[in-house]
Amino acid sequence: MLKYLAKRLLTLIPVLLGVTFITFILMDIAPGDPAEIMLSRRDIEITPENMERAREALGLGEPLPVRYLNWLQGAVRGNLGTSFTSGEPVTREIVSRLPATIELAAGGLVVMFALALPLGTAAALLKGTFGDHLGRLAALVGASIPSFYLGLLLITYIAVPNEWIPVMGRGNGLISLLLPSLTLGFGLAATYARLLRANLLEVLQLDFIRSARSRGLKEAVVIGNHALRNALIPVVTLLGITMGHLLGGTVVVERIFAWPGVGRLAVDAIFDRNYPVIQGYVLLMGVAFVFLNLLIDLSYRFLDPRVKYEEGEGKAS
Amino acid sequence: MTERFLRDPMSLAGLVIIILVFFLTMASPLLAPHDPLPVSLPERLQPAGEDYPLGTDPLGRCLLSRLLFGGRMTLQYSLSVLAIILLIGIPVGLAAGYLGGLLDSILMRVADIVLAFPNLVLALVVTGILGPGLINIMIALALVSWVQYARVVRGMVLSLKEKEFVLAARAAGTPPAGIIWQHLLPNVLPPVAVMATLNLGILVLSISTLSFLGLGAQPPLPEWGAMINEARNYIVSEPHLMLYPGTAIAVTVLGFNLLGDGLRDVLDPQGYTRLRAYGLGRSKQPAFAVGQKNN
Repeated sequence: MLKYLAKRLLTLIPVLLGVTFITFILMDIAPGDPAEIMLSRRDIEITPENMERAREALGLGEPLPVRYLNWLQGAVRGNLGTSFTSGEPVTREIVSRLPATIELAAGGLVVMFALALPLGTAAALLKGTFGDHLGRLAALVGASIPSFYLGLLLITYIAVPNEWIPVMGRGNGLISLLLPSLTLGFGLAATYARLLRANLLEVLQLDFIRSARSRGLKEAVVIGNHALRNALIPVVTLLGITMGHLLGGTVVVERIFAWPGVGRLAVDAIFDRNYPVIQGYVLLMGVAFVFLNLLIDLSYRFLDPRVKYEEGEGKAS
Repeated sequence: MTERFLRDPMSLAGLVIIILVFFLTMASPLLAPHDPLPVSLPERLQPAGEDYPLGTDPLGRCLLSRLLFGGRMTLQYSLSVLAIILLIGIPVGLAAGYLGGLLDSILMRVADIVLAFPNLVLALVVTGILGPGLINIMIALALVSWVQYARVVRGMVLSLKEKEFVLAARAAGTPPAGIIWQHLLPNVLPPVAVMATLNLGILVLSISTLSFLGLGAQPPLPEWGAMINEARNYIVSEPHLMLYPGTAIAVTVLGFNLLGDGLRDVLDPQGYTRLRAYGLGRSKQPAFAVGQKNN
């Protein structure tokens, strides 16, 4: 188990090195002089002396590999440089925004499961009926609506007529989370309801379900305790990939609902060409995505005791 | 095969939607009643009427014309990105799968890096660094998407190259290029066509999302996502400004999804692309993907 963990964490290193290096190269070939960008963002007059000083502060005199190694040296100690716009340390800016994004992602996940579990189960039990076909169409439609459009629709037709539902920021506690979570979780719920339906149908044909039924167990117990639990295992596998959609989705949702999270920080940084913040965001997303996937792999063990960890891969035996 | 496809009402609906959307948008120069670009403030926010079938936007431009031209822009860019992805992804996947060696190792490492990041996040960052604009969006999306095709094609080639017909061709002395061209490519293409169809839906979503964020199409160019962004200040007083482009995106993506779903049943019975239905795919297939035929 520990060996598996160590191995997984080790594979993370080349991936993070690779992607941060690529963003470094991209920033280097992108048009515009970072020193000049930094000065103009801070409203400092662009004079040769100021430029010289900014170049020095950013270490631009060094060749690219040296600059990358310097950045890396800082990153390992948690120092990601300072933001071009605010002059604050990037690490502090990101950390202060992180709780809002985690809250939003968690809300999205809750919405996703709250919708997908009942809908997927119902569709499986109603297989082949009109309701099932309607469910397939609804899922396809749900997956086809862009989240930014869905968010605006929710604001226009739910929040505006009902004034008690806030539309901006996270100032009003849990209720502020309602519409952003719905926007984030809805499209994924459609997908997951379909997956759950397919898995459930497959599990329901297995022998242990028949034996459970023949033992006279109530249908609700058979579905709830036996079938659903097994049908959820492959769903959890996919959660890892979904995390990516969730993390990407937060960018859009945070923008629509003025949610003060990391995604908004990143979009603002992109418009400002605030390179240190962009670089920090890339690193954070990479680390988050890989760690979440690791967490999910580990959680199989609780759902499916047969899972063994070997050769660096979680395999269901 | 075709018959089976046409008998499924959902696939047929998808086909009809896509044909309709393509016709309406590609023929926009002929169909649009007005030029979509010139600003005319006296004509701002006109209601739907004879002159302007869907009314005008806050800058007095014909909404219908912008919708048609905007769709053409979204679709043209989606198709161009797809073409780039296919031109890179298929050859790399074929070569890596069949020849193996260094190219294969490099591909797998690159794939590890690219797939370690959420696609939209990566595209966002790349456009962010290159600067806003449709061309940069194209580069960003192509950069992050070709790897998926290369991986899937490589996976298919790995299983195909042990099949008898390939071994026979090799025994007969066919050079590698001949085997790839005559035997592997034709077998790889049908599942790739399914992937490409579903991917077009995702590309339409990505391009409009990035444009909505202000990173893609720049004003005054019409593009569906950008149009919704321009309509943001008017969602309460003039909701139709966002409803038209928003519905247009949803219907187009739905069309691609329906069509791709239907094509998969016909072209990809092995289910290479099954998980990709909703853009969730990765080449490593969980066990449930195998027998998921009964829907």
